[in-house]
Amino acid sequence: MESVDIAIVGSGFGGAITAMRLAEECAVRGLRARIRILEKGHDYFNLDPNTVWRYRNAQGNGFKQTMKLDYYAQMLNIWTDLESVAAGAVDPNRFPTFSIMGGRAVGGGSLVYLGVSLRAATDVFEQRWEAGRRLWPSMYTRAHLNPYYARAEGELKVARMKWSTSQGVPLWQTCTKRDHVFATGCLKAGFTAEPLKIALQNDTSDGWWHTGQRFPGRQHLPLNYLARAKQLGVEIHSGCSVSRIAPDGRGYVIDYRDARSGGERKTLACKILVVAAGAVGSTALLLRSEHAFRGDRELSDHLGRHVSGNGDFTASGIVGPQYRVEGHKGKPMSSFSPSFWADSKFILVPFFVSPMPFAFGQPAAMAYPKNPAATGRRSTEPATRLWGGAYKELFKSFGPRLLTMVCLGLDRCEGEVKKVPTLTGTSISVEWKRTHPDTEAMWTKATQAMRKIMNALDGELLTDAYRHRGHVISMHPLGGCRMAETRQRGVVDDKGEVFGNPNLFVIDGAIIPTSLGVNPSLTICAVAESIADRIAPSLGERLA
Amino acid sequence: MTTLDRRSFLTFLGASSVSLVGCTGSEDTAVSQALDYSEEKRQAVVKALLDVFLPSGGPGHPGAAEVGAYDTLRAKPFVHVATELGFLPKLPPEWEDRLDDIDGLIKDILVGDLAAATSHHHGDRRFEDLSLGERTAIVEERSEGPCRPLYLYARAAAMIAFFGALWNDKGIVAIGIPAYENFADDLHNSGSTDFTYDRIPKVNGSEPWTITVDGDLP
Repeated sequence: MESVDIAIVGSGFGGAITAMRLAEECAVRGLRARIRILEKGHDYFNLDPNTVWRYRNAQGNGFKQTMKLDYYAQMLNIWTDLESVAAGAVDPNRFPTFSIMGGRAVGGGSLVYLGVSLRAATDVFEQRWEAGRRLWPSMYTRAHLNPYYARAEGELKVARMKWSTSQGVPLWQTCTKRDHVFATGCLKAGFTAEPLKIALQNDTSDGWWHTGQRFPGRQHLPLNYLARAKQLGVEIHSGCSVSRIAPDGRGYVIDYRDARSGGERKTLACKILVVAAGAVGSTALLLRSEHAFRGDRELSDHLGRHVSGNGDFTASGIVGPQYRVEGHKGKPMSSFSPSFWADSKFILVPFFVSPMPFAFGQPAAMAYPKNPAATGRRSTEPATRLWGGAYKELFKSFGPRLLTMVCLGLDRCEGEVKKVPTLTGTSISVEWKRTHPDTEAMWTKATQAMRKIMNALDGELLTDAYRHRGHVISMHPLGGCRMAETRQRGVVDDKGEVFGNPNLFVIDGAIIPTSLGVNPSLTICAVAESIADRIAPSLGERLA
Repeated sequence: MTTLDRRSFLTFLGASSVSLVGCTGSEDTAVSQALDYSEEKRQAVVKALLDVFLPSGGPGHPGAAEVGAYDTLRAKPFVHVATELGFLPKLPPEWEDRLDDIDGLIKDILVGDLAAATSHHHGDRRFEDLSLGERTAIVEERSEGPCRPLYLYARAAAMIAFFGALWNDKGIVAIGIPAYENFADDLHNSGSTDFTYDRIPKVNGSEPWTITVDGDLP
């Protein structure tokens, strides 16, 4: 059996940062540690010399910039409530459908994120629900994370967009037409809008944020943390899909399939194991492996619970004919409205993504052949038949006047990741439990705000997957391996170390105990930076 | 479940969603005849079905036919995409190499089901010869029946082909999104130099104000 000192499963924000920082620490202290990242997806950046993905485009990276189906299937991880989708998505007596979309490649979610890099508000860390207990471990505050936020912003080259070059920025750093229309609507409705902070440099083209860009503007992990990790000797193995982990003496063993050797089953032993496969991926891996953790090592029964969709709630509408949104042009996100945070704990962000991933992210929308609004389920919107000529004509009228907004806010972590039996074993599904009244109230206010903005633009709010179809869609899943003070309240401690299992860590969105109300990548980075700092002093002892 | 035939496939689908037993097990003559259709006739039925989901409307109004929905339904990767989206249960490993067979079975079941419904409502006429309205009524009825998972599967293929621009950009152009550049050679760019207003938004002399601190929520 092959062995390494530190194995990291997943190469997204949590995995990449942990790999780089631990490698730095080893270098500084002269520790000879072998660190390996196992990533399920392809390597598009030549970080893995043995990758099976050989394609290189004219810009020198592996992105094909194509609409082809197999490519999207490779790039995206989609988890959904299989049972609800198969049943037709909406059953008034069941829970709403829950779908989650993530990245699958070396670089993880950073390859499909929109670069938005906001710090979570101070009150996010102070959340207390009915029990009255603070949900975050006591050490986590905005003040604690501020230096780590700053560190991550530096690595990711986060820049604040501006409205105009007259504000002293280059053209690439200005907001899009879409943002100007949104801001106009906000001002008319009595709200404000502000430029976003984005991990972006020198990007003038802006297309293809979901399938790679012609120019390396968006700062994803292979350009920074992973590149540095590789320089420091971290081995990056792509195409390695981990099926199970188990404790083995003082260390751990990992079972995986290696696509680079024809899908061969392999086992890897390690002293320190960091699970960083994303909120769903990490939780799923622990769920698949939980039978191996017995007695004192048993995993907390919080595993799989408290999954947040980060309050994601998307709606679209058509603005008046005097406005040109042309949403497909420019950065997919570059402004937002913080006007609703103080009272209602959500923000609104106008955005656009190319149709394909949008379609991928809405399996229930794709599935339902009739308008379920007719069932009366939560619908407050005009009925629209979801297939046929009328549906096509409706979309035709969208065109350059389509303005889509996403609400990000504080939900009550109503999601769950769970194992479901299949004919061939078990599969991982996600489920959205009944929406908490607080979440429902937030989304109601978000809908009202969106409608006010649309009305101010002489437009009409039209579609909204949740209100129409009872379908919760999240691009920002969090939780599943909640971080807490004790195993009675969570799965990992404030360092991400799994209770009862020394040297087994979960470091990614899975450990975030609550929703964040802003795009979560920067907070995941800051938490990972903080954890790396706190693991570092004991690294020699842990590797002994 | 090691053999891949109609019965095992129906059982496989039924176990995860709804029972399909009986949906094509009828002794109905129309179904029997439909199962003996030539490949050309089967294709005509499936295309007529896809046209119901996204009908063609002449020049500038492409439908399922123009955007390659049939090819999407036939594409091997679509089985995996549909599985990811929850339209199909995960295939048993021993079926992974038999996607062509699965493709044929799905079409067989749909063609048989549509033949049964057409026979019931329209006697000797064939589904592909019905008007759009007549076909729509049949699909509405049958997509609520036991073959529903396969109608959803077919509809997803039509929608993804249209909005995803898998084979050409006719669908997205029709809904007002500009054509992709150099579509033929796989290199596309949805960006444009004309992406900014480069000015501060103003409404009645008012500009956006700041709530954030250095761009972040306080």
